[in-house]
Order: sequence, then C-alpha cells, then structure tokens
Amino acid sequence: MFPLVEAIQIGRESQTGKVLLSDVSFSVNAGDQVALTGANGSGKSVCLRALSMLDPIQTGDVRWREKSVANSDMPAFRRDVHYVQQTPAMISGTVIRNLIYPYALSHAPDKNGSTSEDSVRRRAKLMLDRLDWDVTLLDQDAQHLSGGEAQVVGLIRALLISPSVLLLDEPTAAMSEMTAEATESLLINWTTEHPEQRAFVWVSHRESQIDRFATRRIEMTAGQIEEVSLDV
Amino acid sequence: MYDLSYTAVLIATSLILVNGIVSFALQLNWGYKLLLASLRTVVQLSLVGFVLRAVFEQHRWWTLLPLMLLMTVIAGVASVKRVRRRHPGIWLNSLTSVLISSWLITGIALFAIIGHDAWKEQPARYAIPLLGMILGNTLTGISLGMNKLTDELMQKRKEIELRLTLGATRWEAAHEAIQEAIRTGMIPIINGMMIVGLVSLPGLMTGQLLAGADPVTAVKYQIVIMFLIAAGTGLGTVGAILLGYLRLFNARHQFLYEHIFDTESKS
Repeated sequence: MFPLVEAIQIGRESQTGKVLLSDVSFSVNAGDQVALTGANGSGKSVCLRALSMLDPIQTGDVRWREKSVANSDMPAFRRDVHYVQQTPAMISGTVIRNLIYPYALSHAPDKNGSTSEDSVRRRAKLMLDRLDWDVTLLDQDAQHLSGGEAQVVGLIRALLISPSVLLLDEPTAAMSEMTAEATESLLINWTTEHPEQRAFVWVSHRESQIDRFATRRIEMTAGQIEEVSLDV
Repeated sequence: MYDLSYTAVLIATSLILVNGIVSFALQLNWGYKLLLASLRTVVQLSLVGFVLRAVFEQHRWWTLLPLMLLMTVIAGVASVKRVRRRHPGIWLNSLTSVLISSWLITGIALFAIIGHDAWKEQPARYAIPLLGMILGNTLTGISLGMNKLTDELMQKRKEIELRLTLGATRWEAAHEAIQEAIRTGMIPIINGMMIVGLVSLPGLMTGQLLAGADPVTAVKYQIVIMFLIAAGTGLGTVGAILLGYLRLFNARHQFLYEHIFDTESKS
C-alpha cells in the first residue's frame, strides 16, 4: 500500500535530556485506521506531533509521500498530515470564523475550490447533521465551548481542510457517549469512502472503541513503538 | 551656568529622610532599600560626573568610544535582566538591537540634526547625553517588549500550534504576539510624548532651563530628543522582538517553546 507518511527512525529528547521518542519507525498507508495505544506519558502525543513535524526531532526523518518535506512545503504538509489537538484550541471569534480561518492563510487549501463562508457553512452543516448536532453551534463564541463541543469543532475544522492523514489525539475523550459513537462512524466513513487516499492514526484508551475502528494497532512504551497484530 | 555648592547638595540629600520617616511610620521595612538606593544615586552619579569631566576634557575618540560602548553593553544587559522568561540567544539579541538602534540614532542626531561644529570640538558633551537618553528608553522598550513576547507565546502556545497545524507559516502563527509585544514596548514613549510638557518638564529641558537656556531653544532640543528617543526605542524594540521570534520559530515553521525558560520558577 502507498505510504502517505512515514517515520524513519525518529528520535527526540526533551531539553533536560529525557528520551521522548527513540528510534520510532512506521508508515501510515492509505486506508489505514491505526490505533495508537500506550500508558500515559509513553509518548503517544509526542509521536503524533513529531509525525506532523510540529516539534523538531533530533534524529531520523519524516517522509511525506516518499519524500522529505522542504521547509516551504511545511504549511501544505501540516494540512495534509494534520494533527488534531486533544482539546482543540480556538482562535477568537465565532465557531464559523474558526472554520474559515485556514482559507485566510497565505498557503490556503484548494484555492480553486469554493471557499466562501457559505460553502464552508454548508459543508460544516452536513457534518453536524451526521452527528445529530444543531447548526446554531456555528455562530457561538468559540472561546466558550464545552470540551465536547470544542472537540467536534476541532474535527470539523480538520475535515474541512481535506487532509490525507488525520492524527487524532483522543478525539472523543470529552464527548458524550452518543456523540463519540457518531464521531467514530463519521471518521470511519471518511477513510472508507476514499481508502486509496485517506488514513488516520487515533490515540484511544477505550478498548471497545479500538475494536470498532482499528485495522492496525501500535503500542507505545517509553518512547518506543511495537506493532501489535490484531486478532480478527 | 551657576554651580551648586556641596552644602546645597547635602541639604537636598537630607530630604531623603522624609522617605525614611514615612517608611518607619508605616512600617514599610524599606529603610535598607532606601538607604541603598540613596547611596547608589550619590555614588553612581558622582562617578559619572568625574568620568564625564575627564572624557569631556580629553576630546579624544579613544576615550569617548569605549565609554559609549560600555554604556551600550550595560543597557543591553539591563534590558535582559528585566525579562522574566528568557531563551538562548536573548543576550546577543538584546545587545545587537541596543547597539544598532542607539548608535544609528545618535549618529543621525550628531551628523544630520545637530550639525553645527560645536559638537565636533567637544563630541563627548553631545554624544554621551544623547546616547544615554536613547539607551535608557530603548532598554525599557526592549525589556517590556521581550517580556510581552515570551508571555504571549507561552500563554497562547496551544493557539499558535493550532495555527501551525492548519497550515499557517511561522510568521502567520506568531505575528499577533509580535504586534502585541511591539505595542507594549512602545507604550511608555508614546504615553510620554502625549503628556510631555503638560504635567512635568523632561529632565533634559529642566536641566537646560536651570542652566539658563532660552525656553524656546530648550523646547527645540526637547522635541528633537523626544523623536530621537521614539525612533531609537522603536528600532531597538522591533529589532529585539524580531530576533527573538527568529530564535523561537525555526525555518521549519516549528515553535520552539521548550527554549523558553522561566528565570523565577527555578527551584
């Protein structure tokens, strides 16, 4: 299968010399639905952040579609291999302003596509419908969202910029059971609709949830990874 | 110009007793600090007086330039000392910005604004006070600006990283914090320009008036000085903040938050 993004022996230490990632190698192929598991502090978030190149790594390389990423391609890379924060930060203003924000950047996604507020609103509404959420969320003040609402907005914002790989850091942890399950099927549908060009890596602690989405499982222990075979 | 007798200075010095009495009466426990501050005022200014007299009498570039350099280094160091959250390279950044901005503006003042030949006969008499005033204000601007920059970046770290994940360049991710920092650094000088002359007369002008200068001449000098200070502060603050930004955001559009350390939280 075609690797969308690969970690090649990446290693990272904190300023104080603590090993955060050590010799981590794995690839995320098109169609993968990877569960990333491990104890707290084992380096799951560090690993996702390294994969989207948010933090500098001291050793190894991250390859994007089998190439190293040039500095000038970094904005495009981060939208394509997109890290979603566990509690997504919001820029000031309404939810819709947060959803439009990526289109105002100098390296905006699909310049030729329809990027007007109306079109973003319409696409966001489709997703909210599938979660059975009300469209009024879009006009709320983004600074006053509950944890679950922020996670929903963060995911919609992520899906709207059309990434290939979603790096999800416990994306449903603050959601209600019902929303979490609707979100699961939204994300599973998202990859299975276009398995030739989409994949996600999902940090989760819930075994029942992992059973539902995972096609692969990677276990982290103290900054190192191990692929675990799934019993099918 | 009329000189002051040492007795007169002594009378003024005794006025500090007023503060001492206040401190004692209100139990501020400031007696020691007050004493130290008073002593430093006397010692530092006396030293400066004698050094300046020596330098003024020399009329030599080789005594003037080292003194100017020393003043610049002290200003550069002092501006970092007031910054709580620092990062590697902050000393060099501060020194570079202080040096370039203050020397450039002092140079413009001497060669393009003052212009007349009097300063060339006694360069120190003009260069030292000008540089001093510009340095004093620039170091305030830089320390306020750098403090604000690192505070903003750390407080809004998640938001800045969010912007980066959405495809923002390092500049797009950081520019709000940078604007905020520059604004903060410029507040004192802008405020100063707003009320200058209304509430108090600036030190330089007061000095000139006490020394018997014509008020209009004194005002002209003061206007020039205000703009020199504003230009120096602006240049130095912007320079230090942009250099700081380049240290904290690398070419790979990564925010190096780990490089920011808090000088007060160290246990």
